[in-house]
Amino acid sequence: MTTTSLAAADAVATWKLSKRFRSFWALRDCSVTVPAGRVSALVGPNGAGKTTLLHLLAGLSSATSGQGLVFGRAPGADSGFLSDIGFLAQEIPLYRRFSCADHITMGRRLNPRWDGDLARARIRSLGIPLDKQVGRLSGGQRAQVALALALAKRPRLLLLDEPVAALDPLARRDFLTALAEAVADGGLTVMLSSHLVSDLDRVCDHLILLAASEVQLCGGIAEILGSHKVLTVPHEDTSAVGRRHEIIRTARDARLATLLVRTSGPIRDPAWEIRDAGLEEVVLAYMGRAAAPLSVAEVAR
Amino acid sequence: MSWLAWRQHRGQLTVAALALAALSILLLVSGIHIAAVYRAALATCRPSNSCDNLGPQVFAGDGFFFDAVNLTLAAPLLIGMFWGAPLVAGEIDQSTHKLIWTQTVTRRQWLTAKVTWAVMVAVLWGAALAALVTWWSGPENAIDYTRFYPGQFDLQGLVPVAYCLFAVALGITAGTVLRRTIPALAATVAAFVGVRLLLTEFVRKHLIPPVSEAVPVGGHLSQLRQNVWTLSAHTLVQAGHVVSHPALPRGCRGRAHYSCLSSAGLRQIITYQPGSRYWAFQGIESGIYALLSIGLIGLSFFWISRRDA
Repeated sequence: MTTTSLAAADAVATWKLSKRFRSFWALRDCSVTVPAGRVSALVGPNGAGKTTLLHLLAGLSSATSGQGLVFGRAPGADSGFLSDIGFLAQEIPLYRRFSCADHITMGRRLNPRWDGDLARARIRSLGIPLDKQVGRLSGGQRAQVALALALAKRPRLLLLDEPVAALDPLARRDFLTALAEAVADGGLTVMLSSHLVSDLDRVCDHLILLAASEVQLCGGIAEILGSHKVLTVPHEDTSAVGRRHEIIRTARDARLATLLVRTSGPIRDPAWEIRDAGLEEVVLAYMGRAAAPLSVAEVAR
Repeated sequence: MSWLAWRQHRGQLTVAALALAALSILLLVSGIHIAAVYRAALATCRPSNSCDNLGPQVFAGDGFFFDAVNLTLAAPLLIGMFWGAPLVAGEIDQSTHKLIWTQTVTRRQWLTAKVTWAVMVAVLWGAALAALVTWWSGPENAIDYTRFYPGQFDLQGLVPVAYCLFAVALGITAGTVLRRTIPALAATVAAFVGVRLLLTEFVRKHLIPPVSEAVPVGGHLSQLRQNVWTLSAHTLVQAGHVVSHPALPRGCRGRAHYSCLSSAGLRQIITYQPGSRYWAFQGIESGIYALLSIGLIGLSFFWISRRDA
């Protein structure tokens, strides 16, 4: 039921993957797939379980229950798995007293597929001196160096945990440009997390939305956008819409209700105003839906 | 991996090497001086057979060096604090464990390299210091016969090396389990001092059952001057029974007390460890610390593969 149901062709496949810290579920019944070659945005509010999922996939922590596979292999302490992944933690950890060149030497000594020339070329092209101590670089430069190192490992799956969260807008743009270039070179699957979707839709073609420790959405961005519409209907038609389509979010004014729906089949009534949904709009609607019942429950407790 | 360990810790290693160099100069210079004074004193006293109690003459003005040598008692603790505790906890503090654990190297391989490196340096450093101090203490051992006594015993021979090993193992394990450098430092100090006191004060004297000898009150052991470690010399025995208020012959009060007590048939029981057991004690105590260290390192390995990053 587990291994066989997870396609080994997918870069990432999880089945009911769960992680509990004492009494708190950081991730619950997470079943997602990321096909090879995609760039997947892992989106969700702070504390939604993004870091937990990435740590589980990187083999940095072990699941409480369920299963996760990376290229058909369970994350763990074997060099086959470890050489397939690249991971960039949220803290952008680097040895502060090491220079970039030291980090490149380190990578060569610890990895079989290491491409030091690639790292050197990337770091030079950004105008970062190779012999400068990493602790003296700016936050944006450190993130770029860490990305260059992660890519030089030649991973098949690159896991990036909020890589741009701490960067200013310019550094953020440069980082994502560098990432997009690396992806264009081919052979790489990426999962990168963020609490802001607007950062990511430029580079990503796949989306996993986590909220309240559970998966709200998982799929290609084009498919997600194709199956979500915004309807503006009279109040009394709301329940008619709800019978055929799943209403994710409702906003009402005096006369009309604006509904974000997940469509199942064509939308019939020509009287309803229909438009396409933006990705950010869809994401916010799901986040809002996941947050609302939780906050009521919290208050009641 | 060993390149990484070297690159990461070369700063610390330099500091340790410099500290050892400074101590070496201090001990070599003073040690050569003291040895020369001792030889001269022996040459003078031998003809007249008056070589008892050379200490005040030979060691006059050397108080500073004795203090410095006694301070090396703390060296293993410093190694535990500054080599051991930050070894793993320092990485977790900086989150660099997440960088390394996602390279193509398992946690076990990583910890093996780090532990090997740290233990090797701690043991070599401790061995160099112990050899220096043991050599330095030569004249003192020959004059005062105190090398078996707590304080002296802990500074010379094999045990300082074992203390260094134990301290670094303790630091590594505390850092691995507590995951923060400062708490790991505190735990290392507390546990090291605790274990050392416990073993020194309560366990060491029982490692081999001590020997007892009855001597005339105020008299000396037959093995005097053979580095015995006297444990107690208080019990008075009269006619085969332990007494606390011995019956004294008339006219004893206020006079030559010791001879008076002896003539009353009183004997003093001296309990001691013979000097011939010195190396056995060094070996057993070192073995205990080595076993504790192995256990601690084992715990680190168990912990690091079990815990989440």
